[in-house]
Amino acid sequence: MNSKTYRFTNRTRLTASLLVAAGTVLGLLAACSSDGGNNKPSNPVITTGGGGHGGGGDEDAGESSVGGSANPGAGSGNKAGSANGGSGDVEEEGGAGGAAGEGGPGPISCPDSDLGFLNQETKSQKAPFDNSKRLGAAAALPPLP
Amino acid sequence: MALNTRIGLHPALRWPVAAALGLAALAGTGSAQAVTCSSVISSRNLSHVIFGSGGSAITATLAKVAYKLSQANPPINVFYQDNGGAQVGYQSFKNGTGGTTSRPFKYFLAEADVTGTAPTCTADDPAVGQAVDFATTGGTLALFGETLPSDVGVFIGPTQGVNVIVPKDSNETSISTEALYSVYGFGPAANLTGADNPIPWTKKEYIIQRAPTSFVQQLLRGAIQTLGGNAANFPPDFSNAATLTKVHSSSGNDDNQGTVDSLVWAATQGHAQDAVGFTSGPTADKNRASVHTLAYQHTDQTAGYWPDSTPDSFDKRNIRNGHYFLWDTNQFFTKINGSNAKPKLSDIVNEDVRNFIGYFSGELFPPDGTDINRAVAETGSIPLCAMSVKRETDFTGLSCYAPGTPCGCYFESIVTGTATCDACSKDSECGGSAPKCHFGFCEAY
Repeated sequence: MNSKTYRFTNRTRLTASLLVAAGTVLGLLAACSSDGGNNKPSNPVITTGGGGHGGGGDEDAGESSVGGSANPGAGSGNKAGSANGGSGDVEEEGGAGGAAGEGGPGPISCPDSDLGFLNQETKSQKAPFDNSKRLGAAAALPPLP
Repeated sequence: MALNTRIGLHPALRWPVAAALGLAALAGTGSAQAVTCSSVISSRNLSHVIFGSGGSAITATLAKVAYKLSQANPPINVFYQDNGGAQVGYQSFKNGTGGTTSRPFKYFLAEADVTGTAPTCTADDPAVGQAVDFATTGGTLALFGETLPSDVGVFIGPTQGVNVIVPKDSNETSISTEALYSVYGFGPAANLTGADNPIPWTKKEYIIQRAPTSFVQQLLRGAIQTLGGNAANFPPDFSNAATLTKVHSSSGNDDNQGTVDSLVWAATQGHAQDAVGFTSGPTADKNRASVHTLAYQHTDQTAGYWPDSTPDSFDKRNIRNGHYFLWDTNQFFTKINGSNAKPKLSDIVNEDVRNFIGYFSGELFPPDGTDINRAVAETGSIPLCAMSVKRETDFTGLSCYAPGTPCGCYFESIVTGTATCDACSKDSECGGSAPKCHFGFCEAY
């Protein structure tokens, strides 16, 4: 009897797994259907358990997916899945994770604040602006005239 | 006011007759602007006509979409007024005063009307104006302090960036929210004491602003206000610090192109380093030969970013994934049946407006051969299906967004000219992490 068979012949553990799975699904539905706030995909769009493909492009490769991260037991390295699912059993049953994405515009993960989006990792070209060096006293935002 | 007119002429006779009528109309009035829209509709035998008004940020995109739809079967023929900024456009819709002499409708029935100067026409009574079927603004009505009548619904369309731009020969590459506060709050009065490398934008005649009724100005103002403190009440009128676009715009009007025209003028005066302005993303993209966009660093952001992944690309990746702050989603306003709390497309009273907005938002598939997403992308806007983030308000509440039918791969293929995803014609040609075929490319779902 391998561990998988054992788990599903153990009624208590099966019930617990189902409850965790159901909770995960309900939690995800709640997260995805709410208006407002951050870190809430607007649509529970990925239902295939796909991995982190975020669309076209050669940047943010393999890191960017909106929907992929929202599926319990889906892709490996799935932040939302592991955080909400929380059960190794459920993730195991979820099947193999989707392959890492090949690029795309999507964020690396789904940040939980506006600043998280603004400062997410990227390979895009940057141009820092040093407020102190460029504005001097004006950097302190004095009262308007 | 939708007009569904059809004159009983043999098709072979329609264009010659229409041309003759058009020429007669022009000859009779002596100027294209004095032509009434009803005469254009009659002479061109147009059906499915709708009138819109709003800002100029979306005009390039709307013009191309309108032209495509004018060629579709069935067509939609769009007349659009954009003089005076988004708020004025919205008020024309709300008050039924479109197509006055000072704010005529443009129309886009030929490709040259899109690539060149669009012809214009007025209401039958150009002093009073006429009813308008829809309005559109680059962001929400909250930007302008306007309210929504109970019989009007709001619908969203493509996303656009707002770009801070400088003349092509400027050495500057980036700007911050704090710098915008200084430039547009103080202008020549800015106290840059202690700055090792002070910003050059301190001469009022070369700091360019739009009118306070424009979407781009209110979006910039709102971004500055996010600084809080002394910036929380940043005024809508930047006139203490800056010069209006209409002073140097080629049209003589306050519009997005006017900002570019003003910066070009500044450069010809030997002040390329002193000049700065802001305009819609599509306008900035269209004028990359004469201006360049600054990377924008929002407050508490660790670096400045361009709307695109590099200064020279067109992929809009940093808007689409939330790195770039200065963007918003177009709003469409039109009469609806029922409550405007969460209106549906089917609530829209005018069927042609319903289809027009539905094509723009991606909720409806356009007629065969009419590629709205391509038209949107080619004009510097971003169809919603190519976005990975959305905002709850104009400035806050970023969240991940997964469109129902994604088109990120298709969008990038258009704007970059390079296919970054596997091409396909059906799902079975896709696999792995991108199993679904949408718009000719394998997408993640």
